[in-house]
Amino acid sequence: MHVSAETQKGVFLTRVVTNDPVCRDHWRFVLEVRDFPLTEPGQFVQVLCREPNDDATPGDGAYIRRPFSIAGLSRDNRVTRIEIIHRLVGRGTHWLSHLNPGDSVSILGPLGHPFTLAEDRPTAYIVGGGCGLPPLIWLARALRASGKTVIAFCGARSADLLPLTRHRQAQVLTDQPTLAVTEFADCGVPVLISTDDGSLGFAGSAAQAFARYLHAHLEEDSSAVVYSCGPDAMMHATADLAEQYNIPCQVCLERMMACGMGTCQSCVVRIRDASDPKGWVYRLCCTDGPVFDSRVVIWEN
Amino acid sequence: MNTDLNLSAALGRLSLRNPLLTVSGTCGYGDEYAPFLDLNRLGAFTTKSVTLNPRQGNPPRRVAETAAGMLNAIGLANVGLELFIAEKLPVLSALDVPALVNVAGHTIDEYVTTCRRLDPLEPVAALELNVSCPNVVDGLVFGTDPAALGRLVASVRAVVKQSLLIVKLSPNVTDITATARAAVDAGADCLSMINTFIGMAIDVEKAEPVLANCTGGLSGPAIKPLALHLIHRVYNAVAKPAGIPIIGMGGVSNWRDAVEFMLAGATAVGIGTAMFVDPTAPVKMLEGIEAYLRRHGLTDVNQLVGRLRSNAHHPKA
Repeated sequence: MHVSAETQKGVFLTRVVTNDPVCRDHWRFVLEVRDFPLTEPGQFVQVLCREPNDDATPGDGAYIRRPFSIAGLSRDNRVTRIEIIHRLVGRGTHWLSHLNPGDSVSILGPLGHPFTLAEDRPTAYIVGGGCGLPPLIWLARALRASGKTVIAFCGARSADLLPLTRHRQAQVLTDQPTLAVTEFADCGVPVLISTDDGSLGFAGSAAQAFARYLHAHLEEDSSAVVYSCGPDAMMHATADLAEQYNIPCQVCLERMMACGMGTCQSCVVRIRDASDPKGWVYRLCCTDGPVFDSRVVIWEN
Repeated sequence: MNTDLNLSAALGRLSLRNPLLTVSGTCGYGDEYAPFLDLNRLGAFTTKSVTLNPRQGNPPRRVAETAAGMLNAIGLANVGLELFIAEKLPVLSALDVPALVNVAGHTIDEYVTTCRRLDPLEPVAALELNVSCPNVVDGLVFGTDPAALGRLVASVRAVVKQSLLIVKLSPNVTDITATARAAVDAGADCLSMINTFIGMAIDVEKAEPVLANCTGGLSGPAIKPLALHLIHRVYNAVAKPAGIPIIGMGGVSNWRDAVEFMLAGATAVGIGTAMFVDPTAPVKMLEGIEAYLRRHGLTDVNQLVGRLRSNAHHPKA
């Protein structure tokens, strides 16, 4: 890995390497950029979903940047490759889905606080759902590289909405993690797939699959840590479960934001604070998060 | 570097390195953009609104993108006057750029107390009165009623001795020259215009407003032609005759927009929502302005101010 000392976070012009559909309504693109600063799993980039030209008419694409978590990042000397997986939601993501290799894309980053790789806990559970899965892929690789045992619980509404690659030979079981997902199997991480409609793997949410697994395997595991990203309801359930088993849990939140740099004050999250008369204060998802200790988050779902 | 070009601008007695500055509410208190932009490249730095007491702000959702712009209803979330002085002013003191502190309030007393406290403090070069924040209950009263605005500005004027006094005008009025004139007559040193337009967005699936506050302030390129028109009007009807400078703002996204605002009568130009997209925008815009000046054989950026020519000589159909 090569990161020159003078690289400062900011606006970078990147080149599209690949851009392909992953599953229904989900796309994966890879950007190549020179001299991108040190970045860690959980951090995000703000992508300009229109021509990276000062004079471009913003009618095509979206005016404000869109925040995306990073699904993978690799470095080769001064060149960094950044992988982003996203769901088609609106103007910005539709513009992105039409990118071709060689096209230019402006990104701003890296932004936010990354996941903390708890050094003293040898086991990591990953619990993710839908568009929350991408940052957990990169996290899993980083956790494995630091020698952790990692087990992942990956959920989607249905099999065709799971933005992951199925490993052809591996079986999907409803009660046992297997090497059924290429992105995780590549770094030796077994996955228990769940779908809300039961079309693949465990029928229910990733949090429910995780609950059943924990119940069957241990009463309390003080040597583990949980990392979660996905819908608020799923993260909330995961956080409650982690607290019940006395396992620390880090959640990666998503909120509507304009700047991503702490200035627009849009992406507020209610965070417990005993020093405030209300018992909570607003913190910013972009600069105070997006990763928070689950115990301080007041869930709104 | 630019020995042949004069880029410096003056807001009354306050001289600026160049005519580009940040806009209140889009640039925090200074430290947020520090990792992305050398703030000393700016002509001036304008802070987010400061109120006498801390404000938590509105519940989310606070922003919504619209065609070529965005709505926001932040609700003047800020740390409050005393914490601002203790924690944020030192950041501004360390900069080699004039600090314009934006002040908001609910009553004349609140504005007066806040301004009196800030006025003598070292890094405060100017106080900008936010009389037009559309996202707080009674903030609009001062901004839309010329008589109320005149009373507010006169009361603040009486306690502001050191700092330049800027009044930021609301566009949500029938005749903006009336509020502009009221501010100038009551002693404003400078006008900044415009604040956001009140707007709203509706989630049709839920049949609910998108913003928790229901309404929000519209900013971005969508409002640029509207801002330009209002600056043009106020420059000719009020500012130019009174010799009062205008800080123009409203959807400025590139150097061409900035030049348009100056031609319409702005002495300095604020970059707001565009900073969210590119925090280095002021540096790029300054380069564009320099190139424009050279191309037109101009040597001083101030030659642009109010340079708009009549097109009456064009043949009529």
